Amino acid sequence: MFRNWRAGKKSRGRKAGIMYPAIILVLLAAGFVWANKGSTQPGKSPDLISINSMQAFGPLELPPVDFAHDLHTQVLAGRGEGCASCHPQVKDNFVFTFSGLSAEGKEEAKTMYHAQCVSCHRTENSQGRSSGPLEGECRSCHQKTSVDKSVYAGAGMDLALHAKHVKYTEDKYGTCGTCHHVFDPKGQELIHIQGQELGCRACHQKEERIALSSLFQSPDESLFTPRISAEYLAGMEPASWSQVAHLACVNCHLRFRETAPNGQGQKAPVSCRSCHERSEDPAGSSQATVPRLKRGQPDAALISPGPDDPQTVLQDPEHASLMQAVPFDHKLHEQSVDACRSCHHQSRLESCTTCHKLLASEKGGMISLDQAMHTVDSEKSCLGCHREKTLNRPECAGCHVFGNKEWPQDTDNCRICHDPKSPHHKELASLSSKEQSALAKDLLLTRGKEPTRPELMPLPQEFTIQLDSEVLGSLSFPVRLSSQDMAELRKRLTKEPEQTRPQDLIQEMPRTVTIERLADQYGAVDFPHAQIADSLQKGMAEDTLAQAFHQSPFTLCQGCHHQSPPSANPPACASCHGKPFTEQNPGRLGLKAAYHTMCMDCHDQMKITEPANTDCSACHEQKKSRIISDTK
Amino acid sequence: MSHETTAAGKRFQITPVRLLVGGILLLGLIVTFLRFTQGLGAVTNLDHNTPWGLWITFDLLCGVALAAGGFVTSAAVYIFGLNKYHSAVRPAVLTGFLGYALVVLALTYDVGIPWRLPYPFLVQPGPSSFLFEVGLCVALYLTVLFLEISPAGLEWLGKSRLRKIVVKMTLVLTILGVVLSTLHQSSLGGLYLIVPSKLHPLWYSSYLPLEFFVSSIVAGLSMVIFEGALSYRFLGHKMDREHIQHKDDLAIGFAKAGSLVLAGYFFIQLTGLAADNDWSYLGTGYGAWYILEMGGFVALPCLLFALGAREKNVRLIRWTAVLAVLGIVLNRFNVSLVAFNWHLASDQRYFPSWMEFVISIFLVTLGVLAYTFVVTRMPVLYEHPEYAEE
Amino acid sequence: MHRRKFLGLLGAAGAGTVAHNPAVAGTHAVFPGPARQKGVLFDATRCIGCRQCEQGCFEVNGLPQPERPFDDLSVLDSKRRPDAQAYTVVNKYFPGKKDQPVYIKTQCNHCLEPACASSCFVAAYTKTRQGAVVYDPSVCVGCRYCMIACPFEIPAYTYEQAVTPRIMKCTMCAPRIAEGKLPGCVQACPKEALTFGPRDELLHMARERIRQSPDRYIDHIYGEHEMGGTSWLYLSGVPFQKLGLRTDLGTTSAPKLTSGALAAVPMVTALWPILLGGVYFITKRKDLLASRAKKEAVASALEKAQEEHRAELKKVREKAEKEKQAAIDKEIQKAREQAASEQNKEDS
Repeated sequence: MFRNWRAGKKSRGRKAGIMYPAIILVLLAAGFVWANKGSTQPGKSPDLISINSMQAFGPLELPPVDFAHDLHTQVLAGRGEGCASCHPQVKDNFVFTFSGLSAEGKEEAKTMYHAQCVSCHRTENSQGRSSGPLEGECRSCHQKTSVDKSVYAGAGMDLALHAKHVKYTEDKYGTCGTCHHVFDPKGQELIHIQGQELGCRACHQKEERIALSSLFQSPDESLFTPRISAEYLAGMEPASWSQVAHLACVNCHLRFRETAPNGQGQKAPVSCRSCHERSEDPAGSSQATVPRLKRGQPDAALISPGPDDPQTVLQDPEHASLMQAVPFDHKLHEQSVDACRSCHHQSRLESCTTCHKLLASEKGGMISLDQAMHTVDSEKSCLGCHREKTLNRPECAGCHVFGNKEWPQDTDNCRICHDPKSPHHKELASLSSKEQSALAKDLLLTRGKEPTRPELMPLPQEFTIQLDSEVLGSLSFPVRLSSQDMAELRKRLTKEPEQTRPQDLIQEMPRTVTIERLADQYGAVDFPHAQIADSLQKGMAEDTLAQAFHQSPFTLCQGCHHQSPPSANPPACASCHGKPFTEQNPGRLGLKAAYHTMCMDCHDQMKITEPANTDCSACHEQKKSRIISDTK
Repeated sequence: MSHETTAAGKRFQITPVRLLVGGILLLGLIVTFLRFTQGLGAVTNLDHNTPWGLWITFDLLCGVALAAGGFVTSAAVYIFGLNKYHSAVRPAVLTGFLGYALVVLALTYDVGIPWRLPYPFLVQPGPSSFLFEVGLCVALYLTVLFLEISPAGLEWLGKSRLRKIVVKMTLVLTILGVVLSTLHQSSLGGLYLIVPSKLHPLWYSSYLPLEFFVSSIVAGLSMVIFEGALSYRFLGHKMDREHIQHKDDLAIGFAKAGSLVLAGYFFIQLTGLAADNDWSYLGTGYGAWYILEMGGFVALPCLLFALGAREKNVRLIRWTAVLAVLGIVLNRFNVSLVAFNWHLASDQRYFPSWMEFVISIFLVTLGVLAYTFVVTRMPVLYEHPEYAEE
Repeated sequence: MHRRKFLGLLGAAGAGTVAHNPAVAGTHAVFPGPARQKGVLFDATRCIGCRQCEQGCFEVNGLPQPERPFDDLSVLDSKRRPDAQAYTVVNKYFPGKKDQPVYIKTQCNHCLEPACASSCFVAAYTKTRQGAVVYDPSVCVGCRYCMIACPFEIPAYTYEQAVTPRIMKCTMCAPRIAEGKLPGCVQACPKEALTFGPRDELLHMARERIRQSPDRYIDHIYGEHEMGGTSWLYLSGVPFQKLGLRTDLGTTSAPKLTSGALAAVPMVTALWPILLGGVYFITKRKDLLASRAKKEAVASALEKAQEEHRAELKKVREKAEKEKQAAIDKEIQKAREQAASEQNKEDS
């Protein structure tokens, strides 16, 4: 089109010259895009180990490597190789801190890692198999992934597992000393004292792995479990839980696999996933079949501040007064938890009051005894655990979901635990722990029942009534009761009060209640009152926790008839729930929402799917086609 | 494409080009009828997530940017005193006027209730809106352009006294034109300031108004060069000697200016990136597209303009002008369609319907026809002998 | 010329960048909105996805009958947005476990500083004192800039209307709330997942709900500050982005995004003419001086030439005169000599 224009001869060459930078620019851009294509893998596997031990040598130059352990063990297993490919062995035991060789500095450590990892990849690659990243592909390993913690669960022993371990090792290894040990400072060695075994984390508390430099030992020193590291002897803390657990457990499992008879060996887990994968339903281990682990624990105990508590009455016996001691059914509670450390959270199996004093102290982690027992959102406190149970079990959650989180709600409930019949602290100090235990057992038997009535004083059969009157003057009337009268009187005064049982209440309540309020667009609801009360009652009947705390038979009603005193004739919903969004009480639901929220939320919590919340006709028929009535 | 003016006695020849143009016109009229009787939904692919489509992007945004030659050229000649470009003023102003007239025509298609277009000025203004700014300035500027081009018509009609009055207003009109152009060109960029959440960070910057204004200068310069070449090729017989003498100078001078302005524009874009720390986006797919736009359609024409101006290679300059114009068009498309709604899933993205393309082509054809009509009759490419005093 | 143009452009660019500086000095204040303005609090933990709110909205607003009835819950299987027939829709999400859906109701959020109102060039939107953002179709031109501007992608357009298309958007039932009634959706909801009341009360209530049940709610009220604050607030038990609510919108209101640049407009109008006029006059002056100098040079050159010419002429004339005299003298001499010779002849 522009052929009429003559271009200068010089400019033709120059024009080509300027095109080159342009082409290079475009190519650079393309390369840039290609190289930086999104290469993050979401770390969602429980076997990812973050190799960040180079931190010991100073700030990291590249991000730590997220190492997929199970993947590697699988590949190696496919080649017939085991742990020895990467982990050194000392005296038949593997050291699971990687390589365990000594490295003086950053460069050496880096070379060591690269020599181990990349050389293996190169071997794989050169044999035509798919391999991990090779030299030069630094960022394929050193990339910022976000490890998804939701699929990773910390592993540990619980009562069921412990019972299994005991079963499998009883014949071969015999004593508890196979795993349980304690450090004897006198002999500078690890010994086992029968009957005083503790959880591992009682001493091995540190969670994080120790940095590389502090783990280096020369190969000829003893490295296998149990090992006393030079650092510990020098006064540092014992090795971290993660390290000792793998050293002890995995090595033993490996041995078990090889030596156990009847193919039982395969039960011992060695892959990361088999211990660390968070399962959807962590509860539900077979507690019922686990025999009670006897370690000299009492069946019952009295919980009160110890005699050495700075605040106890012994310091100031005249003026100090404390809450009554709590009789605690230890045997019953053992069946309700997975492991001892659910409550004895330091794995030390001591009484709570050893560390938690009346006033918060360093030893108790600045948690006072009151907080340790009563904090509602802790997993370790009494109230916290009780609350968790009410919210996590469908048969309880239907009513308890409406409860207020704040505590104390009702100080009348304190005496359920703090038994008024408990002895005074002065007395407690003089009792031995065995005596206290026996006393606690007795108190537990009589808990909740009305205290025995005091003996009646002798009733007078003859007495005189004195009257002073202005008109008639002072009069006296001698009274003499007949023996029938006396018997009748005695009977009335000693009669046990009537105890209403929930079952009786249910018998007497209406079968269905027709809710006709607001029946405008939608018809009345025939509410199966008795059936619902009955199913709630059944959920409570066998549960010891419910029996302990549902003191009044009307507690059954208070799940729905809430915010009102317990009564056989509790108020209807409309007593308090009227128009919504009022100025005085903006947070209170209107009547329609109160009905629906109570029913639907209870169904949701109790995992009742029929009737579905959105199935209006299951409960009431729609009478009109429009739902808004105040428009034309 | 060859237009032959019909002299008296000659038959109207049906050439393939005329057939094509006629077809476009017919199709355009049909789609127009559909648009105004069946509504926007029947003719466009616009939806609730993408209310602005091809018409706004091409006919409004690109149209306004490419019609910027008017204010650039008249400013160069009348304000900066570069009289050797004098012969380019009228064609540029004519292009500007027709361009803006077509923008307004396109708006009547795109806007839901076109007869209410005067409402913001007559009934109820909404001055917090950048669109108000655009509308007001475009309306005023259209008037200014009309006045600026009217001397050509008045000369054709022989109204010399009226013409004299209008010519006396030249300086005022030119300054007004630059002011109004600055305002509405930058306001078109300002339209997108309100949607940082919908515009890709590489294209969104608080400097959008400045970027749109500066790139409109580039568009104006390049369009004048480009249209100068086309005019000479197809309407050269209408040009007088002064035009022909200076056309090369025009190309070279505007190329110099274009190179400088493109460099400035590139720098503004870089500053925008740095201010918002958007560097990490360059490594993505959109980033590659952005680098292509900046590298191939801003940096490259900048270099080529400089080269062409130095070597006095008018052919290179003309092709570079095409590249620069495409770059501006690409930028407007990117801001309005490609990088807009980038966060939506691909099945929710918009692509124009064939009828939208028809109307856009139809409007451009109308523009070209009008330009040809005016230029072949009125003293635009030549000076009317009676008034050749400048 | 090249230099002049360059300098002129540089100065103009400088003025342009200076004028661009956003005039935000006086706009750091947060606009709290009219006092006692109403709002709605949506609690996603209460919503059961029954779609009665959609039906309530349809009934009170006279919207067209939908294709599928409101009790058809299978529509929740695909994501919907408010469109030309529905001011509000409910969507279902599975943010956590596969069988536990969470529902969310989408509608206009009635921002405190609405983007739609800021962007409308005929001021068709009004943020009323009650808190509702209402739309006036009688002035709307149909430019659809409000749809571009809305960060929540709410306004819908009746594209199928040929003669009078309009925007369709939730109105918070402004006429109803003016009469003291509840918005249609709020009235219809059986679970009171929607709470209507003064906005500050709703914020108190929302905070109280979070405090009472921290496991149930994410500790954030969506809409408290997003885009400068909205009158429609959201509480949720799962992260908001999992419910389709954008959490990357920031807290700057839409008008503030443009107010800086708009403030530059009068600056341009004021400075540009001065600058350009200045350039013009300087150029003109230079041209004038150049032409004057040229004229003077020409005149002086001309005069010099003329003088030279005159001197030349004089010299030539004198020379001619001299020659003439010499010729005359020669002729006289010749005549005398002849006369003398003739005399001599006669004598002999």
